[in-house]
Formats: sequence, C-alpha cells, structure tokens
Amino acid sequence: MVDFQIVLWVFCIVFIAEIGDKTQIVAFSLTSSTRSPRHIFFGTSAALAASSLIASATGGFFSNLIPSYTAYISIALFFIFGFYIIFSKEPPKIKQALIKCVMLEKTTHQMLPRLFKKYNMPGSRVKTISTEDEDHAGIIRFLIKQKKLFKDDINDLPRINNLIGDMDIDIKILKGGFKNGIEKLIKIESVGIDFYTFLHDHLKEGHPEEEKLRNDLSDIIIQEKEHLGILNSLLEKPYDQL
Amino acid sequence: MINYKLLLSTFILVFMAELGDKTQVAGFAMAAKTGKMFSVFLGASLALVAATLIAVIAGSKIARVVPERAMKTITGIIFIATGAVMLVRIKLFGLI
Repeated sequence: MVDFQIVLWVFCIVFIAEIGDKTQIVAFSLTSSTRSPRHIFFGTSAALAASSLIASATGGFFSNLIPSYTAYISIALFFIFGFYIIFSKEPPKIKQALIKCVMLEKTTHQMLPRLFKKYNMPGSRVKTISTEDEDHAGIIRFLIKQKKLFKDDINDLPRINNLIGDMDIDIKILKGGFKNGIEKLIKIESVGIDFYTFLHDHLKEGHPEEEKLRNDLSDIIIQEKEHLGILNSLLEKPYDQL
Repeated sequence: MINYKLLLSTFILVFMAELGDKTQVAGFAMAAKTGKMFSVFLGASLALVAATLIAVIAGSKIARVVPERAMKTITGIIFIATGAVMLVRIKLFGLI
C-alpha cells in the first residue's frame, strides 16, 4: 500500500522546496504578529493539505486551467491582508485587560493542581481555588463580549495601562520549585484583586446588568482574597493538609 | 478561545497562494508517474507540515524579541512585497 522509499523521496523534495517559500514566510510573519501559533499552524497545514490534495488528485491536469486568475486573486489577497494588518487598530484597552485577565485565571486553574502533583503535595483546598478561578474565567469571557459595561472614559485612564502592565507576569508556574510556583500564583491572585476592584469601581451607571455585575465582581474579589490567604499560608507551612 | 476569523483568513491566504504555485503541481505531476499516489501525497503532506512547524516555531521565537506593533507593520510590508513580487514575475516572465 505505502511505498516508504517514495514517501521519503517526496518528503525530501517537497521539504527543500518549501523552506523559504512564500508560504513559510506567511506562516512565520503571521505567527509573530498575531501571537497565536496554533491558529496559524492549523490554518496553514490545512490549506497546504487541501491544495496538495487537489494537485495530486488532478495529477496536474488542471495546472493549465487554474493559474490564470487564481494567481491574481492571490496577489490581491496579499495586498488586502497586508494593508489591513498595517492599518488595523489595537482593541480598546479594557478589552486587552480583560483578555489578559482570562489568561491569568486559566493559568491558575490549570497550573495549581499540576504544581501540587509535581511536588507530591497534599492539598484538598487546591481544587476549590482551581474550580473558582475557572468560573472567574468564564465570567470575564462573558464580559469581553458585552459592550458599554464600563464608564466611557475607562480606556483613557492611566490606571488601566498600569494594570495591563502588571498582568504581564511570569506564568511558568512549574519552573523553579514549589515555593517559587506558589509565589508566582500569589502575584497572579494579587493582580486579579486589583483589577477586579478597578472594574467594580468603574461600572457604568444605569446599565441593566449593573447590579448583577457589581455583585458578581464583589463575590469574585472575596474569593480571590480567600485564595490569596490560602496560598500565603502555604508558603509558611507547605506540608500541612489544609 | 478559538479565533475562527484568523483560522479562516490564514487558510484562504495560504490556499490561494499555493493553488497557483506551479512548482507544487509540477512536482506532483512528476511523482504521479510513479503511480503510487497515496505515498506521494503522504510524503508531501509530512514535508509541508514539518516546514510549517519550523516556520511557526521560528515566528514564536521572534515574537519574544520584537514588539507586536512593529511586527505587525513588518508583516504587512512583507505581504505587500510578496504580492508585488508575484505581480512582477507574471508580467516579466509569464505565469509562474
């Protein structure tokens, strides 16, 4: 069924042809500008698989028919995408901040249990923190999609730039030992408390969801403070089962 | 969070760029003569995935050094240049 010599031969030929090809350049530059390697990898791979499927299925039959205007469409796409990328504006600060916040909550949710497992630490409260942070991530993700939740001038406040900067934390939780990991998570929870407090104080008055949001955010802040307490006590006596 | 817009845009851009690329088709026509189409397709797919992987990893490494806004501008320029080069090659050398 499969001729491995042919597989190897074709692999070498195509690989050498692809390195430095415009597709590679596209994949490389898109990854570095969108910071979403998985999306670029899967999008590019799927496109390449599809086009090589068509090429091998038609056995070069349509090679004379196809190129005439597809090349021009391709050129047009490069121009359009090129200008779009150069002139596209950044999303509003509040959205950037909310997105970073979701990432941090997800980090805690995923990494806290793994940290405990890696160092064989007992910890029953770990699950509570992890689950609650997952809920927080869900709530914030919902907020991202809403409009006009917060005061109109929120994007212009210098505080929001500070918060965004504060949220650029080292998230390599598993490196550097147990204590180091806990300290990093403590930083994340602290920044979270600052950010949620900021959101709580800048809700837009008169918004239909205002009451609910105020309560949700208050609850989140309370939970985060509890998390902080638990994590801090872990630093003092890590071997106690909490 | 899956960004379907980005996924689709990438797919369309790369797909269109590859479809009209005669080097691909010529390679396949040549390999088609061996008759073992599935083996050819397998070898080609693995090579393409490997090359893409390298490009994406390299892109991630560069992302740590270069700020996002600068990289976006550079990418835009690269895209426009790629389109321009393709256009020039067609006009000067016929369809390539």
